[in-house]
Amino acid sequence: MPKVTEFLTPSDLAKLANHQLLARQVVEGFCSGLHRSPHKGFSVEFKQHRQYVPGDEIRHLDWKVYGKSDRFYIREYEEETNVRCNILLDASGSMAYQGAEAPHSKLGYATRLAACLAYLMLQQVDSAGLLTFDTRVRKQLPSRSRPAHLQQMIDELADTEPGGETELGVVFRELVPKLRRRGLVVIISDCFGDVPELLKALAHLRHARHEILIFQIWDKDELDFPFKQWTRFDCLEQAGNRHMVDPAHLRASYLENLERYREDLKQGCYRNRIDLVPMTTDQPYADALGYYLAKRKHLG
Amino acid sequence: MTFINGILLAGAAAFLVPLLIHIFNKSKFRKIEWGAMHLLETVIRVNRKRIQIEQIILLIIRCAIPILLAVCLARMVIQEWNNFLNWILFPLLAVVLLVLAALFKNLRSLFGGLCALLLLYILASSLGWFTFFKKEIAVSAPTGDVPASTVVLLDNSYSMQASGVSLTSFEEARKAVDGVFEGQKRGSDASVILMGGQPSPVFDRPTVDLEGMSDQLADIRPNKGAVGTLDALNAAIDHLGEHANAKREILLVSDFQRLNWDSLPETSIQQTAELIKNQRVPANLTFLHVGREEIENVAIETVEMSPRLVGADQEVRLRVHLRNHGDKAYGTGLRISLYIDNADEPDSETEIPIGPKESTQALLTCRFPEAGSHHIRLEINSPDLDFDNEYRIAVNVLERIGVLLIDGDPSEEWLKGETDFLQIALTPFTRAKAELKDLIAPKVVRAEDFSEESLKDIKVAVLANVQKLETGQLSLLQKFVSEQGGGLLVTGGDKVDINWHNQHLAHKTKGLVPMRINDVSGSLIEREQQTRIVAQHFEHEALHLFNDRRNGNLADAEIAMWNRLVPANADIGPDDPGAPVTLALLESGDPLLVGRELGDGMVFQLAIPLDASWSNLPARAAFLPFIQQITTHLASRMFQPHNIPAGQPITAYFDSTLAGTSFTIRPPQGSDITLKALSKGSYATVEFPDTRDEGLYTLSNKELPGPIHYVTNSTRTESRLARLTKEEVEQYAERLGASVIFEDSIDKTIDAYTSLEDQRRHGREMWKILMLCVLGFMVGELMLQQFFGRAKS
Repeated sequence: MPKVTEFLTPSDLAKLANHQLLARQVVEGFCSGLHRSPHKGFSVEFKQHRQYVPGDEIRHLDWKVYGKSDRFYIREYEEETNVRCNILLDASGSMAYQGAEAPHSKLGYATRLAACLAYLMLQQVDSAGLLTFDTRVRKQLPSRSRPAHLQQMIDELADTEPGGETELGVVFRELVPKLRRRGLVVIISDCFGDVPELLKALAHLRHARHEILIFQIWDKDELDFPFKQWTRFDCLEQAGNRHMVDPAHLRASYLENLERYREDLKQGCYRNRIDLVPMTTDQPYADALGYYLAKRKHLG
Repeated sequence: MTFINGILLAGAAAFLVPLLIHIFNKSKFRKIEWGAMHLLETVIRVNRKRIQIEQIILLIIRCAIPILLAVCLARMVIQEWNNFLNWILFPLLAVVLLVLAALFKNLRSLFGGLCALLLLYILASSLGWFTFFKKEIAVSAPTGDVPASTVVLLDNSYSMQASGVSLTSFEEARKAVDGVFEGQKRGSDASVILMGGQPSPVFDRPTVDLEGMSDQLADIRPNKGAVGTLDALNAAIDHLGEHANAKREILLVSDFQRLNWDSLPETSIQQTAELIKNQRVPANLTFLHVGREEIENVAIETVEMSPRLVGADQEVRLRVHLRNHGDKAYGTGLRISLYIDNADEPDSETEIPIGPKESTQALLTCRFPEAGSHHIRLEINSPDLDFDNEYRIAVNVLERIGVLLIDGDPSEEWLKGETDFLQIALTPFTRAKAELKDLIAPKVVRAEDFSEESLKDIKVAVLANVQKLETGQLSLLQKFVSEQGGGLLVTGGDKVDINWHNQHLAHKTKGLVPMRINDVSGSLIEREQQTRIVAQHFEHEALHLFNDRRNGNLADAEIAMWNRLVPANADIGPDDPGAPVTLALLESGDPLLVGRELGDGMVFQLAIPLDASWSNLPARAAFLPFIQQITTHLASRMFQPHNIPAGQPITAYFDSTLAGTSFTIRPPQGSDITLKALSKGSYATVEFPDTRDEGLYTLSNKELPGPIHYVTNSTRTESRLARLTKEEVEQYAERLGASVIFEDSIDKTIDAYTSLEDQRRHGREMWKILMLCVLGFMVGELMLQQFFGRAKS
């Protein structure tokens, strides 16, 4: 059975312990955590009465008010809750790429990063869930705040193999009903695919009032395109899709194309108030995470 | 279109390198499983065609660079523009247009169209369809505008000493060459080949230091023998190969002496003309006539000296052959002076008249009181050409020639001994109690007393009617002849043991004498069975004397009996070394005198004895010169010639103790040269090959009592100063494809050469243009590589 320490070195863990994940928005939940919730709930601290509408649970009716006024009112309470966090891990074929000098494949890096996040979340007694996908959702672990849940997540991460095409748009649309409660959605993916389609799906998630954080995983080769000699590029996602080219001649065009793609994605995320963090597979997890969490804290 | 360094064209094969790299790159690709295909695919889709074109353009440029560089280094020379345009410039232009088409999208169709048109034109004109540029446009490079490579053939035969208006022909020739060199552009190179005797270059390699060459020419004197015109032209063609420039000239500067031209075989002229015509880089041949015809000339043609070997205090007779080539008669006489060694005053003088176109002889005598090496200089007081007014002879004066007579039939009685007549013939003056000294010192020994001691100071040994020798004695003689270069005369006679003779002396392989004795023929009584010596023209040098009947007639002698000689070794061919040579025959058909060379020495075999027992030859007048001739000839093997034809090496033999010591030789011109004596068998030899200068060479060594003199003489054909007429020179020039400059003054000659050069067209070297193209392509390749890698959306 894989252990947390297989993914995180002691120094990584030490660096992460200094950070507190504070959700930027109040998420509905119970009042036992550090996070204020905008949602009105039914547990500890009374907030207000509101008129009963058909469909409300009868057990929440305030019978005392009914006795006084002969009207049905519902008691509403303020609740303090943990962040409900879902990690969406892209396990599509393109994530299998590993450059000659890279320590891990993109997926390897992504699973490690996901483990870091999960550990961090559960340390804060936030609830964390995991969802792996390629063309479709492969596996879903619902969000839990139990420390034992971490082990379950890590087991799942270790079993994740790359395969299939990236279809983020389809997957995200499929996800929306599954993530019933609003919370933080952490997407770890290379986000390859049609940008407008992806942004549309992300907007859909945002529409469900989820806070979205994307860790876009890059291999250094994909950013630099350092190839010199004649090369046959075999597509990782579609078998038989291959191109024989002299990469030196294409480099400039490729980099320009890459820049355009990244800019489009960046702008789209900015418009939807989604945080897009590009990561390369040779970046230390803790440094990258730490940098990002510090930034979140400022924003929050 | 020609190439000066044609072999470097092979470097063009280097175009295969970029081609192979291109193919190799494509066939040995790397495989990458790639994720970001959506980013790559759009780039590939947009750029695929463009990249293909760009790669073809780069490949063409990369292949063109080594080809252009090879053509550039091979130093292309073009004679006319069309080929250069069609095969070099237009294809390059097509590549440039292709590049422009790739660079400017908007004008792509324009540049592409132009490129296609150009390629079509190249194709059409190479197939000869299109005649727009068909007319040949020759590339002209005026004289003085391009550097030239000139080979000057300078006639330095002694006929060039003949004086012209104010200068000698040779001085005029030198001035002409200086004038030609002055007109050359910087970067020109030249070689000068001296034509006299054998063609020899002044410098081994062409030089660009034309001033230095002129200075060098100032030290050269016209003192060589006749000119080998065609040999010189062939040498010039060989030399041209080492020259660097495209403009090539062969300049023959000569007095065009008739005798050097009239004897040229027609086929050789044609061959040389072909050779000049078929030069890879064409060369212009120009004949430059210098000087003025002057035919008045009296020359000493040759001098004969007798006797062959000169002894101290012996009278030496010199027969001087004179020839008057001119029309002037020397009725009052021409004075001939004879100088011995370096004396200022003549030893003897004589005057003889000589008519126009006549030849005559004069006889002078002299004596050398001391033995050793001497030289004689004969001079005539003719005012014309100095060179042939003088003749030198080296004389090696001997103290004595030791001759050992091994007597096989000695007798106490006067003239009964086997060697008595021989002794008289060898020492006539001593016997006649005359004051004159004999050269030959004979020593008689009985056959049984013959030992190594007997051969001391001996040059010739005579085996006179010896019955047989001990084995040791025989091997002594073997060594004496073959190793020490001694001469041996073996005579026949009644005492000779024929069996011993045939088995040992005439052994098939190891024998000393060339002939076996078959039997004894003739009869002392029966006159019918007697014979005589055939009166014939004697080919052999030893008997040349008897071709002149005044020196005696060998045929006078009656031979009563003789040994019939047959070859000891029938297998030996006439040209093999050591083959027997018959010097004189008997009327019976049998050989009288047979000679052979054996090792370093020589053996003569006589069929009769040299006493009066079998013939009356000893009583005949011819006997004395016959014996003297044979003996001195045999002895002369011991003496190397001191008068040699110019150009042949001087070889001197010394005692082996001198091996390794230094000798000094002083040539007629120039300073002393040190030579080292080399050990060769039982001798030390000194060899000096460079004897092209005619005159006296003095060899000295501190171990020797005095210097040894050698004289080289060339044939005096150059003395006939008659020249070809202008028309004849032009005829020869036409056959050899040459231009002629035949002016009466040297300034006019130089001017005429300059204006002739101006009319000529020379191929132009194209390496500068090609080098620019190479550089342009290299820079272009770098820039295009950068540019093509740029983004295209």
